[in-house]
Amino acid sequence: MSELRLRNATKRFGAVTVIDGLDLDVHDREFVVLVGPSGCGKSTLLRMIAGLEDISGGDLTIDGQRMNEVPAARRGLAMVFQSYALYPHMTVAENMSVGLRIAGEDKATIRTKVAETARILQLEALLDRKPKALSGGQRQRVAIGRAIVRNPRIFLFDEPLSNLDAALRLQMRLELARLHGELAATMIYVTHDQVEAMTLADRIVVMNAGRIEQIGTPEELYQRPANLFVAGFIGSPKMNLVAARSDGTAVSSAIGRFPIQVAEGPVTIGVRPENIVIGQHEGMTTLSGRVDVVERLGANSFAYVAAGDGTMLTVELPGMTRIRAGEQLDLSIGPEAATVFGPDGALMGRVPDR
Amino acid sequence: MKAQTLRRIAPYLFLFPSLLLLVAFVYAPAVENMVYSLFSWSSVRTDSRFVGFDNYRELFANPIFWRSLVNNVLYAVISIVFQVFFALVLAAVLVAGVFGPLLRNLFRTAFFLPSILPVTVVGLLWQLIYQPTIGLIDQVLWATGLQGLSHVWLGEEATVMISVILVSQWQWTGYMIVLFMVAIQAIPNDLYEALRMEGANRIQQFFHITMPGVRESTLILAIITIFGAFKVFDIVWVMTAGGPNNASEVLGTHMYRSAFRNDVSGYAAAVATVIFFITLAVGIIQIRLQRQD
Amino acid sequence: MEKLTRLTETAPERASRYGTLALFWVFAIVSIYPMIWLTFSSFKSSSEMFGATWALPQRWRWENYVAAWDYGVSQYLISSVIVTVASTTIIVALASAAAYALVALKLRGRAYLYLAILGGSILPPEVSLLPLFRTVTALGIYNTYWALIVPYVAFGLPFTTFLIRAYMVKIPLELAEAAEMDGAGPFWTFWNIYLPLSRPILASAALISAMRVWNEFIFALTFVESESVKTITIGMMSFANALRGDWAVMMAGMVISVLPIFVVFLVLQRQFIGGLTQGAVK
Repeated sequence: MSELRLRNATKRFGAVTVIDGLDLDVHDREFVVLVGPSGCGKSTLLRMIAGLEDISGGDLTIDGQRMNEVPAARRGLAMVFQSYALYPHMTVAENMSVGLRIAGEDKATIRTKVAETARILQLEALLDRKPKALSGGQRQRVAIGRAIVRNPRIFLFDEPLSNLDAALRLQMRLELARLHGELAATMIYVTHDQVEAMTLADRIVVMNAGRIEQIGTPEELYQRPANLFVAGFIGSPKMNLVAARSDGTAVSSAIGRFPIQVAEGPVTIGVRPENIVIGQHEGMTTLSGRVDVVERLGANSFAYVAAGDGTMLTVELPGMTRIRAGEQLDLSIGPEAATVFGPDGALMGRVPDR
Repeated sequence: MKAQTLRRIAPYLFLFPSLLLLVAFVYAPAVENMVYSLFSWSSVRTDSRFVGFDNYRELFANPIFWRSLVNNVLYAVISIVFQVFFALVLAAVLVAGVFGPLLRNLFRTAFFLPSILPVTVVGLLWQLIYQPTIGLIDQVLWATGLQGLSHVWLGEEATVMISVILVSQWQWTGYMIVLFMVAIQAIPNDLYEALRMEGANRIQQFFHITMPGVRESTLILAIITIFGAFKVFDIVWVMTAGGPNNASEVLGTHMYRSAFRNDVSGYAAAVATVIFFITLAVGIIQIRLQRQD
Repeated sequence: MEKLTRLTETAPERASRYGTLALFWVFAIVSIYPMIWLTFSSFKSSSEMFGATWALPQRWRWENYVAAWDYGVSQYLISSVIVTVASTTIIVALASAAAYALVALKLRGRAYLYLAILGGSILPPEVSLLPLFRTVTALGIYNTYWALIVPYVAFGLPFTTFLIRAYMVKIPLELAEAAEMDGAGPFWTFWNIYLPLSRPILASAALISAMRVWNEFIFALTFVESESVKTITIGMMSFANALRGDWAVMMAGMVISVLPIFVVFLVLQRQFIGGLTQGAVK
């Protein structure tokens, strides 16, 4: 069992508060991803959990044990750093065994554990090399291996894939997902890349300005973003957000009128690009616009459409669409596809599912 | 609990020996020195008498003190000319690739070599070179028919200080050239290439790129040079010990003679305090500049 | 226009290039001829020195060197080696520990602590000389090797710490953090990560410290008096005084005293200049 719990966790650097009274539970064997724009405090939070930063206020417990004052070395955690932080003067095997050597394990045990880990990560042939002689992906695996060898209660990852090129990043992402299953370990993972968050996480924690905006599974975050920040952050391309006004019976905006009943006042309407349909359809809100740019990605395409008053909408199209820039396009949006956010940015509600 | 305490103080344990030594053998003596300067005492007598600023009054009334100070200033000025301006130009020529790499390294090493010699050797060597008749200088003068210029270089009040100062330039200019070369090499090459594309010659390149590019380093090296000029002691002590007739006295030798030859320790401490305040002013500027990295 | 189309060197340009070259040769000769002269003269007889200043020695008189060696140069050399090795070892050990703490450990008032160390470099030894003389006497180490080693260490620390710190700052802090996660304490990280990775600068720092100690003058002049503990810089002074007149032997002694640094310099020129320049130029 490895369960981590943060209560009212706070971090201040002098007069600046970077983590502001934050609560979080990480369950056993869960893969939790902390995601947010740079400067949101996600790395600081991870370092507080690791013990590399002091906790200014609140409590950190692991398996029910308070950890605030326990030194990093004795929290039973392992961390994979963004730069991998491999010791450049040690071989792969030495790098992986440092923790065990410090812990005073006997040589035979160390050898067995390193060999076993090397097997899992396909590093056997590289054990005698120095980090300099490894590729980026191999270094990454050694860094993970160094964590695995120690058999930690929780794995911490600080943007581990951001130094890799796109192809390797995809490969390592799959490998991490596989490892999570294989090791049945608890993992906390920090990234600014929402794709990594969506693909890897059991649960995602979206952070902004030192606070949690929303915690939930990838589906929940995508389908029911709790506020404008999450709506804009999760999903690629971004959700279309349009200023609108509610009169109590319906919401009207530059892209049309939606029969959604929410409190009167200024609101924002959010529509995902894939929920906008081509053509005029019965029972939907319809509008017309001029295609500005079409991006073809192969499997699908995205059209950037200027609605009547110039409001830009992103619309997902089939891969081999014939639609070209400059064309006039009719679009329809079903009432169930629209999400409404109140003047404070919080989710207001939707027409109940039919 | 105990382990935790150790963890908190461990970082300071790494610094403790260094700080202790610095306090005990660098800072405390400097402060003590200032206290001493307010007393009249000597090493033979154990009693000392508080005299306030008498030592300083005596100091400022002493023509030898003023002569020393003037000599230090002269030292600084000449050193700036040789070790900053002259060295910068020579370094620029070496870096600019006027000569091939082989010749450049040869010149660099040749210029640098004197700086590794112990000051005693330099002093004794140049004593021989300055010797009347048998020394190298006089030999050159006689060989070229310029014997009329011959002097007892280290024996005449008019020539002694400048002779000693020039020995320092001989020893240190090459060292400064090497430092300047590194500073110049740190200037991105494309700046030169861009200017060369516009048809600038080497002298224009020097004034438009090299000079501004090494301005900061020049400032630091100039300060180091001035600093050295005001604490100079060894080369003077070896070559002339301040003589003849105090003509080559500098603050360092004046202090040393007062303390360990004339046994007027309070007075010597006052001289040392003057050195302290001059170098402190120079040093503070240096640390300011060095900490901007 | 003509300036732009011209492809080869013009006559005045060639003249200025050769002029510069000639000037540099003159400077180079002025720089090293005194050393060459010293070396040649040390093999001559005294009369030959005066009579044939510019000539090669008629006969290479190694006996000058034997005489100098027997006259006490050997003892000065031994003292210098002992003091230099001891001082350098302690300086580099303490400075690297201090630099490591300043760079990698959590310290309150880090900037002030650094300043407290760096500040020592602006105090000229003259200022502390008198009180230091009394301290050394009070500690009972006057006229021993320790009277030199301890002040050398104290005065050598600021620059050496500055030098090593500048290098250690470039070691990624994540390495120290990774070690911390691996369960390492500060001592382990210092010994197993920072020291091995700082090896190049430690070599430079040791070299520069050794050179400074070897050449140091004012402390050596003040804190020891017996011939048996005098280092070579000061030993050469008494040696020269005793030998006024026997120039050639004196010069042989001077060559002997320079030789160790000379050899070290020629072998390790790169580390040497590298370290010096790192300290002085940004």
